[in-house]
Amino acid sequence: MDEKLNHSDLSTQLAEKSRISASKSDIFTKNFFELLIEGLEKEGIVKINNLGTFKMVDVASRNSVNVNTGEKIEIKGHKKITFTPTDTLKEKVNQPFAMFEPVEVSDDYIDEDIEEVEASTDVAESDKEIEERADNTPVESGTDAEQTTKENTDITDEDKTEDNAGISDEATDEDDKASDDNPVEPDESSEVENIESKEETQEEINKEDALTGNDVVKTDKSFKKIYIILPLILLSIGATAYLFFAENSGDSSNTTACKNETASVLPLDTVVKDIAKIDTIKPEEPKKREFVLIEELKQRKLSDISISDTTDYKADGTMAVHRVGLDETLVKISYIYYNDKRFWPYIVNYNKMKNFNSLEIGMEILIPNLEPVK
Amino acid sequence: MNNKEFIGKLAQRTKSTIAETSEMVDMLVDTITESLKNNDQINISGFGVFEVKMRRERISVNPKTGQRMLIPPKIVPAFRPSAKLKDKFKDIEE
Repeated sequence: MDEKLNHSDLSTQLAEKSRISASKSDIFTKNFFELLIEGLEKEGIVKINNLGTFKMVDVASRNSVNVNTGEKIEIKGHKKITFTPTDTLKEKVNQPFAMFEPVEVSDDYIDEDIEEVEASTDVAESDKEIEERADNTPVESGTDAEQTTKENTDITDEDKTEDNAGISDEATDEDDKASDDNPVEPDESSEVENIESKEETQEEINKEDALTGNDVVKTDKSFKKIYIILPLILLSIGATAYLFFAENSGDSSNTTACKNETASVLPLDTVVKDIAKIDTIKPEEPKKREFVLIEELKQRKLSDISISDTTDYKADGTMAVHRVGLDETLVKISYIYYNDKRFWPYIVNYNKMKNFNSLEIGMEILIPNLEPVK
Repeated sequence: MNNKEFIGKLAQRTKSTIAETSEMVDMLVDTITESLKNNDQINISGFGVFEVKMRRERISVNPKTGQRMLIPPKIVPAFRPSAKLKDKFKDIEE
């Protein structure tokens, strides 16, 4: 791969293939290329099957200027050698990319694509979380779920009367449990800490708990089955988390409704686990980021630069400096600034990036101001 | 000079039969193709370099219909004559 072969390498390979002596194959290849040159000199064209055509073509004389002195000079016409590969050779060489075919580009494909990209990152995100969780789950699943169920019953009782009291009560509830369980199960303490840190978001969680809490109570006994249905649970978490995050950017009340729908569809024992998970999973971080993204989207729509790709553009000064965030790609950045994701090559060129396949978080990228070339 | 003539002359030079030569040429071409498939460069001193080049995807516009097509990326074989060969042919006068 990516090696540089020379004449002797070629003749050695030929010798191996044809089972003739190395010296004979060396002479043969030498003769082959000598005759090629001779044929070109005499007849101007040599065709070789399955390889291609070598041709001698005229280059017309042309005027040019000496770059140092500005003096006009004439470059005389001369001959040069061209090589046209045959279709079979082209096909064989292009095999890695053989599945691609030209496709028509329509104007309205951009928005769909961007949405797809964002949705897919969300999925990846929730998947990651599930993976992270998966390590801890087997240890704490039983007790954790139990705890949450108890909590939920508490909350549903209190929620009927007052919302706010429910939060504080639950918090203290948790604190008590943390201190109770700590000496016995050290694993759980981290989990509890986790919950505590998320107290700010509890209000939202409470809403869900109030809605699903009743179902939860009934399934208190089935915890022993939990080890068997663990894969099922993970799957359902993935689905719920995906739904939640995908919908989150829209109306938040919509989202809760939607999620509760899915929760009620799932088997009961998974629901318990689900809720336990959602309590702990729901981080503020992705929400915040999505929010920023939306802000950016709004901004860029205000500044709406109308750029089309039927003309050429040249960079005219720096428009902005962009700091690369999590999960950002050149395509996304291009979309942010130019409202068109096809302009990332200009960013690459302007920054003289060599390795544009791996953007690093925190990297600063100059965003060129693009001027159409007339 | 087409393939047949080329093989005929090569057979004369190497003092072997046409059938043998034809087989050898096929194998040599095969060897070159295999190397190119591996992204290798073949440098024949005094003749030139066979190599492969990566062509990036691009958007082409049909000037008549305005239809835009996305041309996929591809790998193409290429030949670059050596400086020696270039000089040789530069001096040929008609």
